[in-house]
Amino acid sequence: MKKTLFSLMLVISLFITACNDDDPISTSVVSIDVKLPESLSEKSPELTSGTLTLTNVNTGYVSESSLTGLTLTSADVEDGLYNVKIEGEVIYTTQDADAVNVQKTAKVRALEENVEVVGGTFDLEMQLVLYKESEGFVISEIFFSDTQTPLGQQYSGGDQYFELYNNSSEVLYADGLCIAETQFNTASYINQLDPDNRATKTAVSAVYRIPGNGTDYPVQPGETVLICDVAIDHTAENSNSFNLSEADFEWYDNSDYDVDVPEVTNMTKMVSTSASVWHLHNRGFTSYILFKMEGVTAEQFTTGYAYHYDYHFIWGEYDIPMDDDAWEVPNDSIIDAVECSTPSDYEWKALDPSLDLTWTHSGDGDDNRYGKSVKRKVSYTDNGRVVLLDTNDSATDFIATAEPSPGTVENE
Amino acid sequence: MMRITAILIFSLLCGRSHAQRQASRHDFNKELSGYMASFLSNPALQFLNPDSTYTDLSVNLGLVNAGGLYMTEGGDKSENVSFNVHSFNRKDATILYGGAGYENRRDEHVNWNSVADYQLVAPYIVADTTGGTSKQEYYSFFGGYAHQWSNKTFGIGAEYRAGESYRTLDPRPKSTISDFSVNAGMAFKLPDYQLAAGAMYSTYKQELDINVYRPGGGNKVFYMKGFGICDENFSTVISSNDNLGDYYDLNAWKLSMQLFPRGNGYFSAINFRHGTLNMKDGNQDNAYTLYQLNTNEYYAEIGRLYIRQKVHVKIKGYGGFLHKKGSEYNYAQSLTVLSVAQKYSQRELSGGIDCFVSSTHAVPRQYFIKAGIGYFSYHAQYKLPSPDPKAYQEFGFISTDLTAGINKHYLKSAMTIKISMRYDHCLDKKYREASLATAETLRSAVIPDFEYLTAKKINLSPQVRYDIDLKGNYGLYVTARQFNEFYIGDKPKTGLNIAIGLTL
Repeated sequence: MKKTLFSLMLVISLFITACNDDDPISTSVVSIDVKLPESLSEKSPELTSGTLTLTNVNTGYVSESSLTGLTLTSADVEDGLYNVKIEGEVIYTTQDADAVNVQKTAKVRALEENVEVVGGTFDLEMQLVLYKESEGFVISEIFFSDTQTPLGQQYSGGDQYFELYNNSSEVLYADGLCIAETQFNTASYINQLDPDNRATKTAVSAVYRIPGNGTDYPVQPGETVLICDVAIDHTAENSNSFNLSEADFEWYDNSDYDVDVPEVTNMTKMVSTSASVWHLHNRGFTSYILFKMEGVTAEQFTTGYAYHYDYHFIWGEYDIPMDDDAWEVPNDSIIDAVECSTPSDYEWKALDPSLDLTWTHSGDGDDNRYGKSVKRKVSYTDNGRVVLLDTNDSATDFIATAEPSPGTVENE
Repeated sequence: MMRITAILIFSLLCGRSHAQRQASRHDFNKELSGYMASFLSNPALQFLNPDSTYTDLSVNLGLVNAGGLYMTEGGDKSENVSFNVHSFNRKDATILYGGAGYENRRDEHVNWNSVADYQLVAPYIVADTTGGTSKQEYYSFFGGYAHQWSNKTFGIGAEYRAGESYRTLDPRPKSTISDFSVNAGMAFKLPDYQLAAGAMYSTYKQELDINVYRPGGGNKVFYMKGFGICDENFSTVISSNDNLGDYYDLNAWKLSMQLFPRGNGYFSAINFRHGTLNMKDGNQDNAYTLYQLNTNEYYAEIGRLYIRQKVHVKIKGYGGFLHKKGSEYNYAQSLTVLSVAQKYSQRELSGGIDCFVSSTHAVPRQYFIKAGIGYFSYHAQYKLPSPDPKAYQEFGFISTDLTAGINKHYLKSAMTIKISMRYDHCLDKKYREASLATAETLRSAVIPDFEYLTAKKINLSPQVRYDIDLKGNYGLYVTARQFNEFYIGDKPKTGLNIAIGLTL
């Protein structure tokens, strides 16, 4: 009896200590089919080099592989949500003014976000688009994050600003330049957006235009245009702020809440969804575009470029159809664009990748953002003229969480 | 205040007993009870409990200060004040026992951890880099009953613990926990043995809320997955306008069998425990699982009891195996589950030999000596996408321990002296960091924790208790226990526990 009991307990003990191996991780083989830019379809384009980057949204794991042809089969990729990016160069044949064939090189790229990779095999088609570095006006600095007073309180005196820069070697005119804030927020994914026009148009919530008849506001090569909310010396009220009294323009909302400085020219308010004043999103969730639309008045823009869209608000089990109104700017009118977000909150792109492939940020939505800006890097100096970096890739082009320097460009 | 009153009432209800000296022996018997934990965890085997009828009310103060090594997530300094009452009532055919407690605790310099019960829910914790002092309050109740018939015994017991853990520095995490378990067992008398079987079920919940109160303030909150890796998708910045809510639930069950001799003879016990922990984002009503941790725990021991006149000698060999598997849920933008990947695993293997010698005469002097040698190995790993190699931590320890105690009764008083020594010798350790972990996490949490876990340690803990009889059946006692953990090449961790109690 005794032996039987002990034998029984020993057998049970051995049985339960047999353990399972770890479960394998589900993976999928990802096949990428790369489409060359449609605009080069008649010019025998060839992809000469490229890099495919797969970023797992959940884990942050980044894998890169070289792209030598138009199809690429990536090795086993862990199932999950991915951002897929291709950057490379193409050569193509075109004709010069004398109808002689010449070979040209151009940069291309493509981006697909939130791609759900599951099911063992996954096929993805990616359309490359051409991009080039800007040679005109660029947005050289944006200060959206507000300042704090020495007592640690958020300063509300209107010290947000944009700095534009003539990145060319010629005199340019600021007349008619429009600055706009995007309607879509990079920290808030819009479900089932309809119509989704981002590939051709950019939805905006506020547009302000520099006045002038075309030649009123010349800007020399290497000079800046400073646009701010309230053009005063803010250091008098807040030692952590800046002197913006030398600003070139200010946006004034003709509201009881806004302050007008008569010595500084006001921009023309084209449209705004705000009934009071325009205050840039101070955690940096919205993006900004610089554009020009010749001959379009504020009234024409208000009605002719209106954008009504539908979407679904989804939270857990809730799925509520919603709609909203904004305005749209054609992407081909856009001179420069800067996508902004934060590392912790980024969910999707408000701008088409052809305008800005990535995004920049000031802080991470926390206190570190106060008193910091996003500032374009210096690319090189040409005979004393600073040329700023502009590859339409803000993560590369901009210094995130930079020290503000309104009116001057510097590489720090 | 109402809760303390309730505990006092509970203590008076339970405290129908009459031997203040028995409470002193209960304290003396703690090591023996620990040695027999595999048996005494079954309420049907409470008749093996060395305790006699007693009731004990005490106020305890505990202080711990780490001068060098410590677990980052637990803090380097702690203070706790607790009030406890427990009672054990033994009659010929029944045993009734119960207790209640209140603990107020603060852990200082806690880093990379914003949750309560870190050891229970790790590696899936929420953390921030601010850290600070964690304040905690816990209430606990337990009770059980065992009844013996001619050849069988039935027992049932339950435990409940509730509490709060919070921080007053932004971001302010606050955890509310509740932990309930019930167990039952049957024991049968055979000619030479008692054969018993038991079952346990427990359910644990923790709700974590993190808020920022300072206007304009904000901080990053990380969802950690072990090895310093955080979930990029769910880790987020919260500001004074936001709050973050998470929810843990853990359900576990355990089956056990025990065999114990009715005189000289062999004894044996086996346990199997399974637990499933889910960490969910959101509140209870609208939460989705982020991580799941499945735990299987196996334990077996076999030994022999020798009864020689007034001395009991127990010697046993034991072995245990624990296996945890952690899975991560990957979600699409629409929050539908894309995949579930099992990436974390942890294996712990333990085994050894323990010997316990105790005198059986109760007065005027009683003693025990416990000695043991054991081996413990730990292996945890995290799978990373190919071609990155797996991150892992592994180490093995051999440990020896020796504890001795004496309990002497005088005419109107009693004295207990105990001393325990333990040496943990790390035989080998290996470590490969995760490529996904940030340098900051590795520097400030992962590497210091690994150094602490793999340090060679000498543990020395003397304890003195003095009981004095009062009028009637009342007694008063004071206990002081000093605790030292010495590390080779680093400053020691020291601690002190002082308790003042009343016995009935």
